Amino acid sequence: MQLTARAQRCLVIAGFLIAPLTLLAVFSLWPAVQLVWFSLTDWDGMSADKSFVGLDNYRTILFEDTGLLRPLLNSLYYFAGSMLQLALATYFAVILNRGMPGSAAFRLILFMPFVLNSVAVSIVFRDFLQIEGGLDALMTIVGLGAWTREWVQDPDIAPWSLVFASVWRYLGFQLLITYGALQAVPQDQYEAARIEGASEWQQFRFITFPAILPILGLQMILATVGSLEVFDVPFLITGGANGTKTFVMATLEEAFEFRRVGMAAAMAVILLAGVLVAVAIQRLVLPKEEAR
Amino acid sequence: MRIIGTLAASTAMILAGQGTLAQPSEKVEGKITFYTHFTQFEQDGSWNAWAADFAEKYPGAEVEIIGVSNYRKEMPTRIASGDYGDVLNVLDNLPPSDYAEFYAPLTDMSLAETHSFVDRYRVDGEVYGYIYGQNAEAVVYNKAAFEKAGIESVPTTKTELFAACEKLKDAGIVPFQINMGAGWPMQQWDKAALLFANDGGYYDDMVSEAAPYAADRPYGMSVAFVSDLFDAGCTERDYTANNWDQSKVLLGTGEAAMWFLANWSVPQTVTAAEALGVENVAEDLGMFPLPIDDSGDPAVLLNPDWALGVSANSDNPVTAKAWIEFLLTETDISNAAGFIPGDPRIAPTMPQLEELMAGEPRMIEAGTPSAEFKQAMADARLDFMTGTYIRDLVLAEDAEAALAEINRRWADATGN
Repeated sequence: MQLTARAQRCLVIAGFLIAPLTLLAVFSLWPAVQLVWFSLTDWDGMSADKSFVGLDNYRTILFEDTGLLRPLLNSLYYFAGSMLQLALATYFAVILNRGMPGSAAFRLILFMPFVLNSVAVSIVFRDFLQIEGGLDALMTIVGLGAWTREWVQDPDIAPWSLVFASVWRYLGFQLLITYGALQAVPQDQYEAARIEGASEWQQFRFITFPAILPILGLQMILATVGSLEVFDVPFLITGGANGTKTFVMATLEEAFEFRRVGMAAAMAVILLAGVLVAVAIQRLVLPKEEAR
Repeated sequence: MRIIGTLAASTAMILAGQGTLAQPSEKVEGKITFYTHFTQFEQDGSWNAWAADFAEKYPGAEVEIIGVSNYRKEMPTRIASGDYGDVLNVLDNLPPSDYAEFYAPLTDMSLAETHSFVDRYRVDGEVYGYIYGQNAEAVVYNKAAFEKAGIESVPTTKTELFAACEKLKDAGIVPFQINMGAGWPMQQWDKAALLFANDGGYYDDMVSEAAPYAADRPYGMSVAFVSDLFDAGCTERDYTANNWDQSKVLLGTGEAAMWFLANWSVPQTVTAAEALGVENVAEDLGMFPLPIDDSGDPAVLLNPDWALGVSANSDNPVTAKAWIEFLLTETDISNAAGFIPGDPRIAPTMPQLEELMAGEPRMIEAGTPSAEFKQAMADARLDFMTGTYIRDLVLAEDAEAALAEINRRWADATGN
């Protein structure tokens, strides 16, 4: 059978599209639809019958039992941490981009934590931050023994310890993205600036910063979404003790401890909505790529 | 006649009954699937040995054993899928009124006459599960650690217990591990409430109470007891990390002295410490009842461990039942796991249990928490038998306010 060139092209396009679209539909879209459906029921996660309760779950979370939303406040710690992380990542990226000796090794060291499995990282930090753990030992060796604290037991310090662990882990990822953007900035601009006598700071302020601004915007979005969805680090290090419970942990607890999958699904939908709103706001406020 | 009777029993059994028309069901044969939480018996080869013995007794029968390490979390998902094998544990977070939906009745087994805690799994006249064994909830202690700290006799009052803790602290030993970081060990204080109430059926009385966490009520007293231990510095210093595996080693080697858990924790402690090359760990371990007050008449709480049930969707309930009966009456699984065997004809072999029973303490049999009680707990967001809320109460900066908040949630949930 002969096919026209047009038919062949359609066939090829369809053939290439069918795999990703099927995967997307089966593993992303369909579960999302189911999630919304569950959130409108009182399903307990096991029994065969679920009854439709309309928006009751949402009303409970948003108006009646607002304690369920309290863990969202903990995201603020991570948001603060992620801003610090962004600043650090940009700082290191700029330095590494100048091509000093050993920069490849530094890049590797900074990026390594992100490649590590997050459970492994959390367990390492759990032991590192324990009483008489790695951090305390290190501080004693360098003569700071008097400054050791109960890093994950003291309620005032615990959130920051967890934020520190998460900054350490994700710094390399942000660094790599920013570094990639920096590599695309033409070197002749710097040369011209240097000939004109621009200082390092002026070069950064007027050449580097505008060039990577769109990427920084993207990073802000990732950081916000990330801080709303923190889970593995606090779950494995403290298990939510001392008020370090995050919203995702509360959702899991609702679904699997209290057997209210319907309610948990509603919480997940609310989180999804929150993320979308955060992204929308940032897209409106921050400069767009096309504006360049 | 028997088949017709079975057909009438439930919809689930109709399916099983049809299966039996195709292949004669009276005989124990064919393959069944068994989901177990005892993964340690997978590693040491016991499961293979027991399955081989079973196949020898009933030629043609075969058991496929699947170990599930996080049973409470993984099995509900499997059950929701409808495919959960033939034999499995009766999930303890399932209200008894739902048993018939997921499990086949096992009332016609001879175990119904002999086994302990049968009534706990009886709903509307049908029995749905038989327990592996019973657990005696009491203090497990390390005799060598007590000796090193100069403690001559086991404490029988709360005052003596706290005095012993001080001596242990002075000797550089962690007195009383509560394993708060691991989470689940805090469920002990859910159980201890029955000791404070001196009534195995207290959970159900609690449903009609307005403020069960008040300081003078059993639950309030139980939480206060563990808070006292914590505040007095008797517990391990690092309380956020899950150090369960490490804490077994500490107790086994005598670097920690006590915990309040049941007899099942003894064999695990022995294994953990002997893996490090410590010898004769079992001889160092003993048990005594938890002294909850100064009356000097402490009691031991008896709790059933996991029960075995047959899936309502099982194609081969006859073989499934034969496997349960074989496992519980003809193997030493209950003693191997460190239980008081569920079959009263098998004597407990653990010396620690013998020591505990030697003082003839009062025994309180824990009753079934009713569906109503469990619902009230869930509605009040108190994770009964998981312990997170007890941890949060112990850690609360303002304990009174935290208790008042819990009481309020309870009152809201029950309408009292």
